[in-house]
Amino acid sequence: MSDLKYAAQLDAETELRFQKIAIGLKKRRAASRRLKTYGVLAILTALSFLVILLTTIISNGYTALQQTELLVELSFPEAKLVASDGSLDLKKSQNFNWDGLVKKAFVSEFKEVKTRLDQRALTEIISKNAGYDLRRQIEKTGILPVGKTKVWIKTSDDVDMFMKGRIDRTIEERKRRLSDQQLDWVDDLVSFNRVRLVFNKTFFTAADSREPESSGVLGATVGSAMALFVTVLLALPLAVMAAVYLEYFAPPGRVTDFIEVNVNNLAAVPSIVFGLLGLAVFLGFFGMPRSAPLVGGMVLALMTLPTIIIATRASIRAVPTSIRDAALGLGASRMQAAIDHVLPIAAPGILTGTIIGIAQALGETAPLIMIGMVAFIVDVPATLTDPATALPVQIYIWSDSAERAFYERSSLAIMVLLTFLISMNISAVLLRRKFEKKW
Amino acid sequence: MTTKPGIAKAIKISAKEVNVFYGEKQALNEVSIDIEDRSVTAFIGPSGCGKSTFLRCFNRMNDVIPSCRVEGSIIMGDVDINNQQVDPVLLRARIGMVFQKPNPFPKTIFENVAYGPRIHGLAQSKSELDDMVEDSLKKAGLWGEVADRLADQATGLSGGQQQRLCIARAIAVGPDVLLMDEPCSALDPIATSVIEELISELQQRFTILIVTHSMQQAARVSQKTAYFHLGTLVEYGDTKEVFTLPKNEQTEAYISGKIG
Repeated sequence: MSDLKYAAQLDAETELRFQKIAIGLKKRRAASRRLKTYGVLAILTALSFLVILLTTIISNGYTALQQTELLVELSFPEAKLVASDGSLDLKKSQNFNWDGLVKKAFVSEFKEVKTRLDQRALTEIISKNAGYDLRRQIEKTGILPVGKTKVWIKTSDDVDMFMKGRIDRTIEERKRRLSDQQLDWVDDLVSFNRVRLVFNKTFFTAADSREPESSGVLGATVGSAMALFVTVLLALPLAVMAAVYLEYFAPPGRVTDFIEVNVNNLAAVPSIVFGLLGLAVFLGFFGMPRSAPLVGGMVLALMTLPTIIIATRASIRAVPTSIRDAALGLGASRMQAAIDHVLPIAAPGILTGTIIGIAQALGETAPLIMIGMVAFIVDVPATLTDPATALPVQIYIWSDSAERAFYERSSLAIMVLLTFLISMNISAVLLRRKFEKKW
Repeated sequence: MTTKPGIAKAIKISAKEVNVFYGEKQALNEVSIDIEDRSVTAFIGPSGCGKSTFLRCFNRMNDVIPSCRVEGSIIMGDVDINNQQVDPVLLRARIGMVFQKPNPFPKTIFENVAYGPRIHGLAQSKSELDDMVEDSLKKAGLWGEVADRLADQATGLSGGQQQRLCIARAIAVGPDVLLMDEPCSALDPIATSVIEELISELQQRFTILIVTHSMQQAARVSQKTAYFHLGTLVEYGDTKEVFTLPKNEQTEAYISGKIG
């Protein structure tokens, strides 16, 4: 075969091969297009779920930002409340029947309501805590208004729900929380402009309550913040020290391997187990206070510890060994090399790991239930050993309540929790940026 | 050069029958060598011949590698620095090291040089520390370029400047031996020639051990050359002799470019 012929044959073979590839290429392109579509679809699905979730929460919860109030005209009996010097007597105030005052004033405005049964139905329109709220208000100012005074008091949660359109008046009376008569009274009040919707300040300034209109999220938020404070304080230094030891000092061997495996396993232990441990050890053995954010924080610290250790080890390992060698070569001890050079470089990674751990801890309910942070607590905790709840536990309690008004409040509390979480993440990003700029 | 041919210098370090193992694998085999005081000794040889490993024996950097085991003795003064009783931290203050890739700390230029004196508590006052930093940078031939930007990030310097900064950082502690592990392998020819000139100057104060891949570099900067092959010291002698009249066939093959 001559060289020319051979070359022509080679060319023909090459041409054939290229045609084959070109045909296959179409298929390959179609396959990659298909894969791309799947990816986009997956992301869209995830996004739509997120949108559905957020819309549900917001549409259920935003109404809780407002509270229905009612105008009542009343006059304060000076003789029963004022001391000899003319100021409000707190002792008298304590014994005074504020509830009766408000109820009487309210009922007296409906002249046609005579029977006790009707009067009782009428008082169901106003909040059970209206008297207490009024007392708090007066005691805060310390001045007793003279003569006929107009005050705004909260309505009961049922009226609140009705005003927000959450009670359907067309359904059968006995299936409704408010009777036809009560609805008529409310209509009357509305027509006289004696009902208003105002910003629900109580929700952000109070702790839990039996009455939805008096309940707030501050107690749980403070409880969560305190517990997280303890968690960071305990978990961060312990985890960083443990990680530095495991990376730099632990002699390789069975013991170190055993510890490593266990740290990794601990990260996957169900959180309720940590709650049981807290119950048995902190409460049972050491006799620490029940329901306290201190203990809650300790339990959550145990839970977050492995997460932070793993993240810290990973970011320590990501620091180039040349930096460590440089420090060691200058005669720095291993500890100096770790603290002066490796940890500052690893700090952003450690921070991210910590935030992930803390975010996990913030949303954790089960271990807190085990150590009693699920209790009904009406005071905002002032110290780490005061009984308290946490935000996710509060949401859990409210979502389990019968009142419709608690339902919208639990949605609003979820929004508060999400805001808490997002602000924490944003501060982490900012801190991270600051650290990264440093070098 | 300051060395007068024919007159032998004092022996600074004397390594005797050094064996190094990585786990089961032996990386260095019975290496014995006498290092002359205030001179440059070059370690050359093909990749994986153990020259870097040997260099790291002199400041016990092999301690960092868990599986590494060093046998034999390395006598400096009257101390065996391979003895486990010797504190590596103290040793590394006497024997400085410059690494293959420039590895400045991600801190300011000043902080890089000041770190060594600071951890060893060498400066009594801020002004003394300032002087030490200036002195070290001058010795490393970097002062003129960075005098007005000591507060800048060291990572912003060029590769050659970074390597000279690493040299300044090493000599700021005041060692009498400098180990250099292929200090120019990551640099361009111009930066390399600057460093080579610097090595020739530093040689008057320090005993320098340098590992290099470039035979020209070894010929240019060193007085003594040691050729390693597969973990053994094949030939050791005056650089001139090793390069012109190698006694060993392997050395000749390597130097003339037949293997490598």
